[in-house]
Amino acid sequence: MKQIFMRRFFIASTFMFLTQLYAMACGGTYPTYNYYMFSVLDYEYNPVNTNTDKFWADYSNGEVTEFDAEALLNIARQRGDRETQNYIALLQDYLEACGSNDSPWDYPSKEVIDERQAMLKKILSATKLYKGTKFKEHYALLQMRVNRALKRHDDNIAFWNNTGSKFADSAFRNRMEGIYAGSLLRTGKRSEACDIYAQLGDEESIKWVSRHYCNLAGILYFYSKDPNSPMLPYLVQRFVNNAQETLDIIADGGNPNDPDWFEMVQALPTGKSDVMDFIKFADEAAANPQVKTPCLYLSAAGFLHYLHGNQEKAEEYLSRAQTADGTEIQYDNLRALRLLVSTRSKHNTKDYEKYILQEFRWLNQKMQESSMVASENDYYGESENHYTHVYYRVVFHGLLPYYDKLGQNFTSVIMLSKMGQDPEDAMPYYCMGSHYVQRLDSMTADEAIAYYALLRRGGDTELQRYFIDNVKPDANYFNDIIGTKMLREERWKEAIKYMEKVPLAYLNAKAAATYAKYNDYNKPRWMGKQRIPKDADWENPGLTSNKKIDFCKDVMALQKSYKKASGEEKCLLAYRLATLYYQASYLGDCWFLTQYGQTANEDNAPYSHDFIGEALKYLEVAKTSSNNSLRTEALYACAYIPRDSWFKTDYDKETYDYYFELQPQSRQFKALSELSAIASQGAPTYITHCDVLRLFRQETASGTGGRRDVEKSKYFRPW
Amino acid sequence: MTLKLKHILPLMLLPLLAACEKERTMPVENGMYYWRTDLHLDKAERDFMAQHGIKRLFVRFFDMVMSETDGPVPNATLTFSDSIADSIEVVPVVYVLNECMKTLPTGIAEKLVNRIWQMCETNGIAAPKELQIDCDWTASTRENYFKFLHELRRYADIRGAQLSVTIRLHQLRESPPPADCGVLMLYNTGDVSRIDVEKPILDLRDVKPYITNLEDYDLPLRTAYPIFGWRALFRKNKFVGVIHYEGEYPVMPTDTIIERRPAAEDVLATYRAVEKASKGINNSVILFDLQSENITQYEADFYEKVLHR
Repeated sequence: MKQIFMRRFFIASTFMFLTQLYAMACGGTYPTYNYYMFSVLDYEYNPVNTNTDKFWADYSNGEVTEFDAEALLNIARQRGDRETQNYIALLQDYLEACGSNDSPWDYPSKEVIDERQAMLKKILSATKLYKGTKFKEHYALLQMRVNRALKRHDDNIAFWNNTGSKFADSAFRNRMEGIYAGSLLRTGKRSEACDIYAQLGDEESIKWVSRHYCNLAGILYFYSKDPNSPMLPYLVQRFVNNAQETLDIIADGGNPNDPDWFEMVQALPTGKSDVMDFIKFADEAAANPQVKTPCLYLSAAGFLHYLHGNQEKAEEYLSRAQTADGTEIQYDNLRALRLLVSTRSKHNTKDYEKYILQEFRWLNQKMQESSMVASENDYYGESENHYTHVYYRVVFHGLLPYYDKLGQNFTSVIMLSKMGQDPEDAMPYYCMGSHYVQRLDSMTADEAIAYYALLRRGGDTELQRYFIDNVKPDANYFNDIIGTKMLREERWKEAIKYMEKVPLAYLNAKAAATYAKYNDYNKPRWMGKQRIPKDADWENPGLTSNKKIDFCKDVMALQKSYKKASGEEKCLLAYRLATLYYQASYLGDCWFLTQYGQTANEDNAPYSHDFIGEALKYLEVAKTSSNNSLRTEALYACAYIPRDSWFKTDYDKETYDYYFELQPQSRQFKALSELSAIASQGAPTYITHCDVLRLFRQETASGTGGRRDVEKSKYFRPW
Repeated sequence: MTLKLKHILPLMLLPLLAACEKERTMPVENGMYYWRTDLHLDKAERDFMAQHGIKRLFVRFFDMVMSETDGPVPNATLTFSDSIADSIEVVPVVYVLNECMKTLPTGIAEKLVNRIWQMCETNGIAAPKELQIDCDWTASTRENYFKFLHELRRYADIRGAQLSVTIRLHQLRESPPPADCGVLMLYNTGDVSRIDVEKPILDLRDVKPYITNLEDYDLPLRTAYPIFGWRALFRKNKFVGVIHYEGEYPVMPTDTIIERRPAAEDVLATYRAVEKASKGINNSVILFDLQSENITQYEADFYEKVLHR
């Protein structure tokens, strides 16, 4: 189960990325934080303890930490330990007889099969002859392994009942019991085998044997056999998580009936009617005096009510669960559920803050002490576990909406800053996506100033102080983003004031520094895209000035002159200002002036002045020039800028065909028409060679109405 | 542009190469599929084969699945608890999962052929005269699958065996695979997960749209007809799964289990329609699959009609 948590995260992210891939050079993959909440299995606390390496580590005084026959044999030889040598040699024979070194495509000859069978029988006899004590458990385990290889399942069942089960608790005994469970399964005793796997916490085996039982029918099956079957916590957890998965898919805009998705995340679609049936069963189970842990059923029912929006019922069931009998892990699970559920209710602010703080301190403690590692290949490292994920879900899906609703945006942003991504790390990889950076990006300059001040004074409320935890904000980071926001809002002078505080060394370390070094906002974008030289130094581009400051100063000077100018000079200045505004927009080569990253589906930065619109306004002035060359360039620029595009491409909702449709009323269509008219009258080569204009003429030659097959045009392939 | 010798040479060689290629022939023998994981024929099964003069047994040797670490690997390899009479020709079949063909499986064809021949040798089965590949390939995996078959056919040919492939109805619309012959699978034509589809295993109405140009299909074909049944489990009218063995699924008192098995008349009607669409196609028929519970489902008359023309 633990692997599934992260899988869900990554797949969701990848999916989000892929849906936009055709349009993106660099896509934002925002974490969904939709981790499973319900966790009542202590497999992670008591993983199937079948690792016998400890024995060998002790034997070799820590020299051999994983079973290595040759190394151990060397040690045994040095010590003159015949008993150990004999056992290791026998174990090696067993591994060879099982073909453990065979490649998957190998198939043994008849001679090899016969030899292996003979060898297995010889090993079996040897295991029975051992009379020592040191390797008693080893030989017993080996005997069962050989029986399994020889398909003597009845022998294994008998051996376990008579001998294996009598050993003291150990890794060897657990492995024997696992083999015994396998023998039960192979001899038709499925439910007994399942119970043993569940007791051992052998998750892989449980997953396989119960793959068709992770539903209410499966729960009822095991419940009818034994209302305290060790399989029930596993199945109930899977059921609740499946119900959560189904709703999460809907919340993420996916299809809850998509079998491929469910197969990928190893879940089963579990809709409302299934959930209601389960709750009915949970009521019965909780009332059954034979059931030892009614807490399990009441907390499951309570959480399911929460998932389906029945807040009152959720709280009622969870309260009842609190007073019902349960295991320690079930109570921990209940506590986490109650925290999440609480975020949907109204509260007295101060009392609620106290409660949250108390619960977060508890969660933090659980995070520190829990060995419930989320995944070996965890994105954020091995420090995460189930309680980290509970924390993420509670904050992201519970407290954020709660505080946003209260209008306490800064509290939300502070909480987000602790969601596994440090702003300093996130900043250079802006386009990788971080909810925290996105929230910061959505603030106005004045809001960012206030937020920065709040961080500097360590927070205003106890909750804010808890999250800020005396960590001082990075001045360069905030001065840079506040200055950039000022620039976006055309508050040139104030922007300069903030950005002057940012040292060049800081800027040079940012990923966008290379773009800032090479791309020039004075060159019109419509005359060609600027390229970064192949030999550019990305590590240390060597910026000699803050380009944002340069830009602010240049715009201010140009605007000052523009105000005073008239006639041709005004037209010329308008063209220059249009060039600067467009280059600084998200579509320009100098996007780094207003943005921290660029994607093909970029839009105007939040609260930013409309730089593209401003460029178009100036171009309209430039177009009135009596200078033929300037007028033509301005007209070309108007036709180039894709705002209010001359065509539209989309999927037909009924046929799913990708189509292309002209937009004769659009701004760009009109500009292209104008350009097309002058192109016939001896225009410069940058116009006559313009491929967009050529296509425009081609497409408009056969009329302007109706949808066309996009496949027929090499220019408008969707991907 | 001038044509140079290096351009013309391949064109000149083409007819020669075509002439070198062995003529596509196939044995005119009926057969049965054997699809279990352990080879063991009971008396009823052996008697059935003898009674109907069936001399060929198409035995699934293993599946080829995609391993995350090792790429395409064999899985669910057949165990041999029983020997097969020398009079019965065993045709090894490998079920290849389509996902194995998403990338070109390099070097696998030789391994597959070697493994099949080794399995036969180890288990006292005569060297195969034919090897069959079963794969639900689609347009997106066609290219890789065909390249794989091409290589496989070369290795089979070196060992003196022919290569046959299964052809699903939807695959008839694609160009034929590079094999010596194909087996047209006339089953699994409908959606078993739909409770309203009464004949998911074989419904002539589902077959008809695909067989209109059967005669033009550029690969010699045999036919395979179903004699198997499915127990489909539905809960609240929603499909849960096909029950292969007792206890595979938990069954609630309110669940519905529907037995889906083609009626003899459905098979025969399809048999006639396919024959009409391509005369002689039923000269060699394979039934799916050899199991006591299947062979006892139909009257002797049915088998007479399908297997004894």
